[in-house]
Amino acid sequence: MSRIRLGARLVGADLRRRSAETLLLLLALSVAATTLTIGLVLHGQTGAPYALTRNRTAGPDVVALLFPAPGKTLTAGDLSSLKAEAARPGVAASSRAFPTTWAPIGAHGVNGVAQVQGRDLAASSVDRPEVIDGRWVGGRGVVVERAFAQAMGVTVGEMVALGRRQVRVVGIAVSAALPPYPQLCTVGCILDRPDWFSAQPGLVWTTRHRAVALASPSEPVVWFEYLKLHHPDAARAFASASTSNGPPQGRPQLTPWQDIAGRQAEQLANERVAVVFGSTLLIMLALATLIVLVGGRMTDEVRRVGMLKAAGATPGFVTRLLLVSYLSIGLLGAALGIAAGRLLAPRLVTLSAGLLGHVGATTLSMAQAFTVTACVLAVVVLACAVPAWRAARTSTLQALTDGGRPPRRNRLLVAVSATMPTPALLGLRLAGRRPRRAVLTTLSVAVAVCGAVVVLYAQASLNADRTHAGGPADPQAAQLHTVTTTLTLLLAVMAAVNLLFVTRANAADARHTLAVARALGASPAESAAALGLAQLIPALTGLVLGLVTGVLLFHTLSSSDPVAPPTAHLIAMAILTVILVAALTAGPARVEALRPISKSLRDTSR
Amino acid sequence: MQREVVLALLAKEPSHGYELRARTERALGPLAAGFNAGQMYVTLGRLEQSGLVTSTREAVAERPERRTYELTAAGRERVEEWLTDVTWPRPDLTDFHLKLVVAAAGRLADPVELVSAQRRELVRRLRDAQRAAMDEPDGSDASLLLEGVVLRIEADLTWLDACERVWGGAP
Amino acid sequence: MSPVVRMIGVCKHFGKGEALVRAVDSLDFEVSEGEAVMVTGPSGCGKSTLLQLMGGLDLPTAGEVWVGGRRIDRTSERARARLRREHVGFVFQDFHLMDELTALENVELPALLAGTSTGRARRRASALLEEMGLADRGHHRPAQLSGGQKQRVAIARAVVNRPTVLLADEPTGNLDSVATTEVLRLFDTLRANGQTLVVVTHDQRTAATAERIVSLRDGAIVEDHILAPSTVNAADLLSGEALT
Repeated sequence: MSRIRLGARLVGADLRRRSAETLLLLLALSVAATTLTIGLVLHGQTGAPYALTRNRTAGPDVVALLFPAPGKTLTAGDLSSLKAEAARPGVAASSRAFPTTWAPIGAHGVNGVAQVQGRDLAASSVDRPEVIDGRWVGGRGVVVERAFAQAMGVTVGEMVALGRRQVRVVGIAVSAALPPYPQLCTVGCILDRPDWFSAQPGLVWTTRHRAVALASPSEPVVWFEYLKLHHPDAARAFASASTSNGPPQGRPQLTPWQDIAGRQAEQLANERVAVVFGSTLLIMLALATLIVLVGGRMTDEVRRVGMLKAAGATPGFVTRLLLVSYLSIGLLGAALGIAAGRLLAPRLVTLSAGLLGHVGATTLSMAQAFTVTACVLAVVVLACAVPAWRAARTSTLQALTDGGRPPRRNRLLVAVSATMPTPALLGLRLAGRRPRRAVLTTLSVAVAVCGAVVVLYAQASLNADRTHAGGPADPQAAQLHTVTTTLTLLLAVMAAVNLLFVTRANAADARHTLAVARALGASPAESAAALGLAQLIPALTGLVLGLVTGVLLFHTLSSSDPVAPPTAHLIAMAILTVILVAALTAGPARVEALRPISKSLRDTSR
Repeated sequence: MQREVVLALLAKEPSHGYELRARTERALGPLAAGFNAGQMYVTLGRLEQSGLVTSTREAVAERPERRTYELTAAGRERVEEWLTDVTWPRPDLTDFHLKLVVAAAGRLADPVELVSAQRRELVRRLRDAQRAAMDEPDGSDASLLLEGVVLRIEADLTWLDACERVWGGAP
Repeated sequence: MSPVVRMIGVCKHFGKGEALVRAVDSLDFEVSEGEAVMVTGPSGCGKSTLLQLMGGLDLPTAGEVWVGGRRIDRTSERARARLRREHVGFVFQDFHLMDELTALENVELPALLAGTSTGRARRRASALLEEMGLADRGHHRPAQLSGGQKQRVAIARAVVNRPTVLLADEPTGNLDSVATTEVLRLFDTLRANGQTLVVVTHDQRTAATAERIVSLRDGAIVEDHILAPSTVNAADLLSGEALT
């Protein structure tokens, strides 16, 4: 019991003594835990909102869509094929057939395409869109699907240009029958006008006769019919039984509800992929931060351990002490991260306006919280295990007198650097002294740069998809843009924190070497340049590595043809990285180079 | 030259006088300069008179006669006594200490000045001893002896520092 | 002959007010070319500070410091770095060798810093190590060397640029008597080759080997005397010693 109390006191004292480092470490772990939490929250969200919307709006199990043959219009007789579908066994209920066509829509200078569906005043048995604002169709005016209304920036009571006429928006509604904007077309569209080539239409409900009146030879009327099955799970089989016999010539095209749900989920899934990818990178950076920090502390820690061991502590006690002090930081970081993630998830990730419900903080299950905590603690254990084991194994006497790992020797580097001017001579040797730390610098810069490259690629792809100039905003792209930008910023901050740690550790480590070099005649400027170079070399390696990995990664990950971002953006990012690294390095290097030599020599005497 | 040293040199095996001399000189190194070679034969003669050593004469053609010396039982006993003896030469600091006290009390001289002069002398000796040690090849028997000499002078110098602090500190 | 090192009215104070420490106080001091000077005194007498002022590792609060005919107390850190490279060799109590470099690489480092070509630096370093009796230790790392060997490597490193003056701060402070003797022998050789030497030490035997001993107390010189040339008189050494 007293040993535990002693341990707790020692851990507390240690953390207080290094409050700045502890806080930075806490920050690193919390940020990683936050993104991980958001990723997991998103994971739990994908199915739920669609199911809710489907229930509340009596969503169909199968959507039947009847197209006219090219260049023709459908007659009343053609509609019999829809009736035949509704009469098939397994169908529990069906809606009437709704005439639907496409027309230009404009408001506030934004020009888009509306998929106009003619509906009855009375509620349909299948698909009853939930009116969020205003009222349902009838008489004059139109009802706009919520996601599309937001993208167009229209509200109830406003006038919009539909076709050649001005109509009033009388309501805003949500439906599960068709995917909301901008994925509406995945069920089926006829957009033959050349300027509509890349347009994404949004759903507008109006009366039957107005919808039919909007039709033109290039955008003929098509008919939608919504079916409810006895067994919703059988929807896919129901749909394929009809379409597997060849193209739906004269017969309707059937889409099961699962496909529509999949489209709904797609946007969330994209964001989830981005967040999970980002949090993976952030966790890697947190690991790097930790390794640097733990390694940097070892010199001092080993001496402290030596003192404890000299006072009679067992190696096991010492190992546990080291682990506990870092694990307690990890636990706190995980707790803070989970809290922040729960708070931020609904703000950072809003659901498509085309669905009911919202992302709730309450959706974070105990299991997910446990996963986050376990991940963070695993990172801590991974980073601490080797140094803790080494510290406990170090003989007491050695720990007291020596402290820290002896520097490495790289023969090739020593030989090559001998021919170089002073800053390069000293810098290369400094970099060679701590190869593992140099590798960590390389990796953390590479991870951050890789993340940035992937984000640049993703944004370039999103931009390419939205070439429909002057059209309504793409809420999905904007959302993804926000998420990826936030992740990039976090990555940059974490990489900067990492670099700062590495630079400080390196500066402290180089203190003796630089003081001796200066006593032997190296000038302060040369010393500072040497230390800067020792950082810059691995950082630049990391930059190149990150660029290459990022490009390769995106090409591997993206299913479609990736769109390369402008070269200028990549170059700008590379230059920005170099400037950031140089700025982070220059400070500590300058401070180190101006320390009085005699003081440095005294401090580093062994 | 202590008589017991000569006896101990004979303890291993009977030897000629000149062999004993050579072995002693090797062990003393540069300090052997202060060692009178004739002394060895005088000491051996006295030891023989005391019955601790016997000698046999052997004639060598056209050379002075050589004597081989050997320990007697009494001599052997004496060596053993000597080996277990722990008496140690006492460093005599009393004289100098009294010199300082008397000089200060009678205002005959400044004790600090006396200490400084003494230190200069000891430093000179220390230098001689250290230089002699530096001239010795590594691992010679004599270097250990010289190390002892150096350490003693250092101890005396440390004591002089203490003297100076005390006498110099008094107003 | 102009002095190699010259200090005029040099003061070095640390702290302020009550806590003011006069590490060196109005000190005048000269070292001639080819001279070997031992600076001794109790710890805290300011002898290390004096050495650091001489090597331009620290600047005096007041006074002038001249090294190799140049005044260094008014120059920039950069200029003093050049001075150290060309005119001053340092030897420390803690050796301050670079652990990751071999003995040979440690020795050639100052030459490389001074811009000597790789080949020449290597040749000079090898020659010096051989002179110091360390020819077979050139490729050993400091951790594999004994204390005396480390210090001899450090001395080789200090003289590789043929400095005007060699400054040694407690060079035997961490060594046993055998290693001390090794190092003192080396100083003798350097001295015989005309190397100017200033050694700060509190070790009596190290101090005793010089021809000139300067005693420092409370930052001021209390004694500066030249020892008469010695004739080793063994009998004299033995007087009053164990043998009678």
